[in-house]
Formats: sequence, structure tokens, C-alpha cells
Amino acid sequence: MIENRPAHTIRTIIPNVYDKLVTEEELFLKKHHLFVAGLVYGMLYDKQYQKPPNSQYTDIVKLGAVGDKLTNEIINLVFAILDDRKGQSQTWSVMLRMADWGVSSLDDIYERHNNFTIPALVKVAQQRWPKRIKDLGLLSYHEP
Amino acid sequence: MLFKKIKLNNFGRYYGHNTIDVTVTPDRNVILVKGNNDRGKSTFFHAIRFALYGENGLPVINGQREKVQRWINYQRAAESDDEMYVSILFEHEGYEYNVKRSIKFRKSEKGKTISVKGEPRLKVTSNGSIPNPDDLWLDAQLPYDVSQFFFFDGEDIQSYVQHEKPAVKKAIRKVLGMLELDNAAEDLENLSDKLGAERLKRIRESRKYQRALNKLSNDRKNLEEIQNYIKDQEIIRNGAEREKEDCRKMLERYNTITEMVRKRSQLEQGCQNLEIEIKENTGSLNKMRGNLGFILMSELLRIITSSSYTPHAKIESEIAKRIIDNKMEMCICDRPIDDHVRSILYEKKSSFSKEFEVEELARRLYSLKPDEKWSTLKSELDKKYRLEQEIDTIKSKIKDTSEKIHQNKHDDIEKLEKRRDDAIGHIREAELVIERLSNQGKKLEAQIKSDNEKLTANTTDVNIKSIEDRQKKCAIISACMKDAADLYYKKVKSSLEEMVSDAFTRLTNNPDLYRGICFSDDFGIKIVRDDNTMLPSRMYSPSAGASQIVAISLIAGLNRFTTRDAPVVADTPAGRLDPTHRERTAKFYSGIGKQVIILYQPSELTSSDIENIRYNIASEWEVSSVGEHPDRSCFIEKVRNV
Repeated sequence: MIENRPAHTIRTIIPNVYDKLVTEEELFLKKHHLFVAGLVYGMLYDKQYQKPPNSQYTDIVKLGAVGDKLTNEIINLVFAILDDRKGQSQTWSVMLRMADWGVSSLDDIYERHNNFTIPALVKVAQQRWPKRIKDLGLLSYHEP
Repeated sequence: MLFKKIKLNNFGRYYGHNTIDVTVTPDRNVILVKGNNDRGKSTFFHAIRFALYGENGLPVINGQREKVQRWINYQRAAESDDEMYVSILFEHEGYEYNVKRSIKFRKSEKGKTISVKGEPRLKVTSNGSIPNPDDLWLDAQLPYDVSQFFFFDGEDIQSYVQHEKPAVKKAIRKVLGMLELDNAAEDLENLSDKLGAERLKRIRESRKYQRALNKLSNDRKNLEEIQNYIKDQEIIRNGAEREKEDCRKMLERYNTITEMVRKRSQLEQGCQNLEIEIKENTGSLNKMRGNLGFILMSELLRIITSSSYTPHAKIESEIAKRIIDNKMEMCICDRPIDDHVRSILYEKKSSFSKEFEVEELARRLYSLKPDEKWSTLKSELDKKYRLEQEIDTIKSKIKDTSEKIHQNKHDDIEKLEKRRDDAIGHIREAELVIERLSNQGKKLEAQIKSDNEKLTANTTDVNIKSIEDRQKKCAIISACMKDAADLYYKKVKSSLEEMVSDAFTRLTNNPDLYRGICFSDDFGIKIVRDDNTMLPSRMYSPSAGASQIVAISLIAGLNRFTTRDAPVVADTPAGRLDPTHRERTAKFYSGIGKQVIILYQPSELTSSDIENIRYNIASEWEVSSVGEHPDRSCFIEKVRNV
């Protein structure tokens, strides 16, 4: 659980993508929805966005300001999975980069197909999670 | 022809049946019927004429023939319906005949016109044969024209000679048997006249023929013009038909286009609806895409929540947590807890904490049913794909339709309709003209055919020549007939003159003054004096009596001359004669026929007159009135010698 949760801020290095997909294309109601999607997608692939030199994070919203329960729960779960108890800031930074990678990938897909190809994404997720869950150190869990 | 019995039934003054026997013998050929004035002598006289000649036998009063109703017995008519008739039984050429002329009448009030049923009927019965019709047969026995010399009124006969009546002349010719020749000549003249008329008609027809030929020629030209005009109109009509058909096709195409435009509008409307739906779907998707992260981790959550971490590890972790929390020196396995063991225990405790936290979080999240959200999202996505396909299809159709509409660009509809209406108008006009002209043409054609046939059949010239020939022949034959008649007349004239002159010299008071009577070529009667001067009979004497003498002479001469055996019925025989002439006449009458019926009044014949002819009298009768009743006359036989 993120203990200093209200202080954490959802941020991104690729705000233009957020603007395009949320503000311009109106594919998501809120930017934190895109953030969560990117986060889960990044965690699924265990990829992090490589921050270019001199690039700056842009704030999207403080976690404490997100009233959406589901968004909070997902962020908490991802945090709990990724947290290695060594430092919350580091885990949160990883999550931000994962989210940017995920958002960037979704944008690529959208650019290529003019679509998120959600059914394909879901199918891939279903296939990848059993292996990925082991990589995440959740060794106690296994398929029934 | 000799009368035997005459029966009067309700005729004139004669009430009911009244029969008079008028039988004569060659020696006793005279029947005397005496009667005062207004007793029924003349009625009897007219009854005979009625029986023989019907209503023609009735007297002429003021130029008009009397009607049969006038001669029905008033008394009988006042009593009841009945029948009026006159029948004459006579002998002719060895056979007996009964002539009955009758008419039925209705009861009528006295003084009023008596109502009759139909026309008088004639019935002739005989023990010999009677050719039909009866009237003609009867007339042939004693022709009506001739009858005036057999049935006469002494008071009227002077008119025979006082005026040169054509009827009298005709009758004389008939008595002489010349009438047949006259009739033949007249028929030929009539035929000649008819042929003349026919010739004129043919000549007129010939002129007409020429005119008809000219007309036929003109008609043929007109027909040709009409036919050409019909052809022109047919060309106009056919052109208009093509124009109409073109317009129809274009308008039909226009209708197709209109239909396509309508369809496109429908598609566009459908497209709009789909776009609205897509918009709604997009909004819905935008909301649902917020669940994308949740959905993507659905499998992760399912694995976490459907698995269970190892109970052994959990126990170990719990035990490690208690040992650490209680700061125990010895493990439950009685092994001293050193640093190494302590680090293992901490690890056990930590591991349990993280997994427990993840599991709890995952359980809570999974309870929010990511699969349902995925299902909802998937449904909306499917809908989106479907809508996108539908809209693509519709747009494709709209595009196709638009292209078709574009390809089928049409003229202005109003112009097309006007062109079509104009064409229809031209067609109608042309058809009306064609119909009218066709009718005219048919009539003209029929007329031409008819005229042609007539003209072909007409041999006017030949006919005219033939008619002219026939007319000439008629004229020649007619002239021959006349010549023949003249020859015959010249032949018989002297005999007739002799007989009439004989009668005249016997009857006249001054036989020494006259030589006799002669006839002119046209049957004019002339008195020949002793000095051979000839006076027309009308100039002989202004005296009616003198004229009566000439007339009686004529009658006697004709009676003798003719071969006809007919009775002589003389009503008022003495008329206006003086006593000397009366005496001579009485004697004379007995010799002028085989049967002489004299209807006289007492003053006309004296007893000495009667005595003079005593041995010629067959029977004497008197006409009397029962009780002096004007409608009750009857015959009373006084003397019968036969």
C-alpha cells in the first residue's frame, strides 16, 4: 500500500500523447484512466519508458485528487506487486516509467490501427499473465 | 239479264221485307208500277241501282253522291239494330243469279244520322259459276256507264241531249263496243306518255350521267387528296408518338432517379442515425476504456484470487512473526534463535506480509468483476464494429446511389412533361383529323363505288333510243287503233242513226218535219230536218219535253243496237211530255227492251195508255204506304198476267 499516497503525483514524460488521446481524440474520459491502462500494459510487458535526457515530467493529477476508486485500487495493487520494500519513491518512479511505456505503446497501436485493438490486447494479456506473475516474484501463486 | 224478283229490306221508305215479282215473258215484257208522289217509286228505282252498283248507284244531290245511311228505313232504325239490303234475282244466259247488297245498321234515334257497321257488302250467288271479284263481274254484265240508258228517270234524260255530256258520249261509245278500242288506244297513249316521260327522264339522267361522271372524277381527286392528307397526318401522329415515347422513357428514368434520391435520403437518414448511435457508442466506449487497465489485469487477478499461497509458508511466516514479535530465544523446534535464524525468520515474516497484501488487494479488485466490465466493453466494441460496418455499407450505397444519380442527369421535368403533353395533343389532333378524314374518305369511296356501279350499269343512250322506238310504235299503233275505231264507228253509225231516227219519227208529233237523228264524229247528237239541215240536239228545242223525246229516241236506238239483254227501268217515264207524246211513248216503251219496268204516277199514264199496251203487261203493281206512314211503303200486286 502506498503509505504517503496523497503526496504522489501521476506524471508523464509524454504529455502530448495524453493530450492527443484524451483531450483531442477523447478516447478516455480522464487522463488517469489512460495512465492506469498504460501502467498495467507496461507491467504486463515489464517495460519502462526510457526517459530522454533533459526531459521533464509533467504532472497529470495528484493521487489524492483521483476520486475514482477503481483507479486507486489498481494503482495500489500494482504498487504492492512491484514494491520491494526498499523505497516507495523508487517503486513509484518505476510505475511512472512503466505507465509511460504502456501509454506510448497504446499510442503506437492506435496510430497503426486507428484503434486500440482491445480484444487483441486482452488476449495477449490473458496469455502473458501466467508467465509474468512468476517474474514478478509472486511465486506462491500458481494455476489451480 | 232479266229480273225475276226484287226484294227490298228496310231500304228507304220500305219497312221490313218487301218483294216484287217482275217476271216477264217474251210476249209480256212490261211491268207497271204505279204510285202517287212520295210513295216510293224512285226509292225502288234507286234500290235497283244500289243493288247493282252499290253507293255509286245512289242519286247525286247538289253534286254529291248520297251516303248509304240516308237510304236506311228510319222507322226500322228507330226500333232496333237490323240489316238493310236489296236483292235482285235475275236470269242471265241460262243461269239464275241472286245479287244481294246489304249493310247492317244500329238502332238510332229518329231524325239523327243512322250509324252503320262497315261498308255495304255484295254477295252474288248463282247456280252457275261466278268469277271473282263480284263487283267487277257484275259491272261487266251491265257497265255502270251504260246503265244510264237502261235505268233512267224520265225527268232527267233530257239532260242527255241538252248538254253534250262527256259521260254520255263515253257511254254511247261503250254501248257501241268502241270503248275497248278506245281503251286500247288510250292505254297506248298512256304508254306513249309514260315512255315520253321515261325518255325525258332518261335524257335528264343522261345529263345527270355526264354530271355524275364529272363528279366521279372530282370525287376521285378529292379522295386522293384526302388519302394523302391522311398519310401526312399519320406521319405527324407517328412523330408525336415517338416524341411521347421518348418523353415517357425520360420521365420514367426521372422517376427512377427520384426513387434513387428518395432511397439515398433514406440511407442518409439511416447513416445519420448510425452516426448518432456511433457517437453514443463512442461516448460509452470512452467511459469504458477507463476500465482498460482493469480489464488487462483481469487474468492476473483471476490467477491471484483463484490460487492460494502455500499454507506451510503461511504457517511458517506466522510462526516467524510470533517468534520475532515475542522476542523468543528458542524456536519451536527447540533450536536457539541466532542471527542467521533470525534473518530467515524476518524473511519468512516479510514474505507473508507482501503476498497477503497483494492477495487482499487482488481479491477486492476482482470482486469488482473485470470480466463483466470486459464483457460490457466487448459488447460496445462489437457494436462499434458493427456500426462501423453498417455505416460503411450505407455510405458505400449512398456513394453508389449518388454516382447513379449523377450519371442519370435528366432534363427539366416540367419541360419533359410539356413536351409529352404537346405530343399527346398532337396525337389527338392528328387522330381526330385522321378519323374525320377517314370517315369522309369511306363515304366518298362508297359514293364513288356506288356512282361507278350506277354509271357502269347505265346504258342511257341505248335506253333512250329504245324508248324512242317504243314510243313511236305506240303512237303508230294508237293512231291505227283510232283509225280502226273511226272506221268501225262509220260502219255502225248509220245503223245506229237509223234506229234512233226510227224511234224519233215514231215518237215525235211532227214526223214530217224531221228526217231523223244523226251523230257527229265526236258523238254529238244532231236533229236532221226535212230540208237536210242539221241542228245540234241542244238547239233543237228549248223545251224539256222535246229534249225528252230525243233522249228516249236515243235510249231506244241504243237499246236496240246493243246486244245486251238488260231490263229497262224507267222512272217517271212520261216526265214532261204532252198527252200526245205520252201516248206514243207508252206504246213505244213496251218495245225498247225484253223487260221494261215502268214506274209511273197515275197522271202519267191514262187507262187508255195502259190499254194500248195491255197485251204486253206481265204484271201491274202499286206502291202504297201503310196508313199513309212515310216509312211504311210496300208493293201491292194489282194484276198478274204471267
